[in-house]
Amino acid sequence: MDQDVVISVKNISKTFNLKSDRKDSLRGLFTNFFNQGKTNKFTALNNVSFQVSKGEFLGIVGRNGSGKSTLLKIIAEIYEPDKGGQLGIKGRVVPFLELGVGFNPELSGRENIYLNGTILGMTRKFLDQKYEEIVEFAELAEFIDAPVKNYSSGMVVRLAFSIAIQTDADIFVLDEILAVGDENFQRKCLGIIHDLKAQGKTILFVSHNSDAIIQLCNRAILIHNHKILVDGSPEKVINRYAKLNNPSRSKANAKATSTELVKNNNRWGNMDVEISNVQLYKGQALDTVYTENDDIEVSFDYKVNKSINNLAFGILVHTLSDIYVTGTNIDYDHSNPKQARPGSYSARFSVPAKYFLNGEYRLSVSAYDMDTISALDHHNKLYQFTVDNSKRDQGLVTLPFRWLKLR
Amino acid sequence: MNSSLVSQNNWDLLVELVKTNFKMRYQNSILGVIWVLIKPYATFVVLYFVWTRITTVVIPNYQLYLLLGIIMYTFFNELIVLGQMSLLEKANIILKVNFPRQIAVLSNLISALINLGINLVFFFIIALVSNLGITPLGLVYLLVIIFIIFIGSLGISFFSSILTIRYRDLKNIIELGLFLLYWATPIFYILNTNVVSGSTSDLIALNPLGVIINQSRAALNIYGTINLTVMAGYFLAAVVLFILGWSFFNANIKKITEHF
Repeated sequence: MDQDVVISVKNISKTFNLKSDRKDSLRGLFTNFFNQGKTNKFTALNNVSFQVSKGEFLGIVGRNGSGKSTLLKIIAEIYEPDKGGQLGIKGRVVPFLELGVGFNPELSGRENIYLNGTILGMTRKFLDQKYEEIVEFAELAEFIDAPVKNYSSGMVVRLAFSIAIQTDADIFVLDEILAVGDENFQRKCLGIIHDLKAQGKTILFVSHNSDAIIQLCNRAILIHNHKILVDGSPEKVINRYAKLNNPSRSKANAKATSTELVKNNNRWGNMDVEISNVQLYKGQALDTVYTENDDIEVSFDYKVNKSINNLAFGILVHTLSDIYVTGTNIDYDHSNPKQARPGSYSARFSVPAKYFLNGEYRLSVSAYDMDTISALDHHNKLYQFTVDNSKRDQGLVTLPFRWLKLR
Repeated sequence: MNSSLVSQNNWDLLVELVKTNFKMRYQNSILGVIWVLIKPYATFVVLYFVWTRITTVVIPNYQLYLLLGIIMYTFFNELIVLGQMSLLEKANIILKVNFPRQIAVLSNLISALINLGINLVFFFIIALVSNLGITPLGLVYLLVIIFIIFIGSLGISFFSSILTIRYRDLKNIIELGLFLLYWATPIFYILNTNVVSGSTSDLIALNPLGVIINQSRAALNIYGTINLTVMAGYFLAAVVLFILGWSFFNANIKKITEHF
């Protein structure tokens, strides 16, 4: 292994015998004795290889059942991989698997701190010192002597996370920790994760939250059908993952009409109208970062190659994690007929940035023939902009609410 | 793992697991730890009254003979049952965290050891009242016997805890085995008397648990004579069993996880 490599996964596979063939009872052992060759195997991981260097923050995405959990359990040295693969781990691994780390539900929170802490490799003395900190972080001071079976799922995860982060480990395996817990706790978790990152800890981070993967990780892998499909930048991996999850949409677009020309995944259409030179402005200056007082202004050129009776321009906005925020059609011309004659034109539109929440967005600009509802030229999420909004509303957009009565 | 097995953390973990075993066993129970005593002593009361009515008991201190027999058998029974279930009952932790699994097995056996300790305290109070001639050397011999049973059972548990995950029938098999062993062991009856005689007696004499229990009686000067040669053999056998179990456990513990 390289000096810097702390996790080395080389040609790792994991095969399970399916339940029906398990010889869990002696009767099964005898009845299966003569046809042992016929076992039904399930391959959860198929020849997976990758390396993680010290201090790396690796995101792992993949659909349920793709093999993520199996991989994590192999790295946490809970499952043994099939023969032939090589697993190299340097340092202590603290797993945080499947929302919780094996609490005893009958015991109180306090008792579970000591039980769980020692299971994770801490000494009682160390836990005595950290006890207050753990309870405080978990926000469970009033319930700490109640049995864990009476806790809500969010409380359980909070406690589990609070204990796990005390471990003096080198590698943290975090499986879906952001899925439970309220906003406030999630923010605290993210703070801790940032701290771990700053301390140079190696972190494997499994999440379905694409934004978190993009913001936190410096690399990601996409596991699909028990193999690594993509290993690269988080943006690249999330993009690919989003396409896997929504194949219907892009396929439908691609097949909108038979005459359609698919240029690539980011641009398609039959090019009877061609859109070019899409630019984002703030006032007169080219800029893609807006505060809530700015207008997002977009200009583009378009060339009409063939007369279109009913031309419309579509504007779509998605988040980085591919959530559809808003979309609109701007009719080509509000006067009848909405005809476009061959020639070169330019267009400009604006929208107030104040309606967008803090974050990064991707803009799609497209031209459609509304008679046939077919794409002429669709630039899919090609243009990125950032909104720095001081308002901390939640959801997809922020709207101009006004309080009409408070008392 | 072997080199780091003895550490402060592992000791603390063992203590926590033993504590948890106790809390789990006696939680929401009014009598609590007293239950440890109730089982063997209730058995004792019933057996004593039935048995002394239907036979003429030929040895002095029969009540202590019977009581020690029950206590030692209960100890062995608990070691085997708790040892066998040690991994299965901790599946939820084992599937989440990689910690030395041997400690899970050991913690259950130590729970049985503590129960034995509680039972023996009361036994010695009774023995003191009965004016038995217990010598310090006899007590040391009893400790050696307990150690032999413990180490041998630990070896067995290293096998049974893993095999039970794979073959759940083993739970019933061991249950049946322990039930039969109860009758095949001189707990309430006495070998070499009119009650059990001839070839049956010889057969029962081969039962290691019977030999060990009789040696514990000899250690406390209740019945029979100390036989150091035989116990040296059992000591060796227990150590071999432990080593075999240990290597079987280490070779198979990782492979068994997916069968929980």
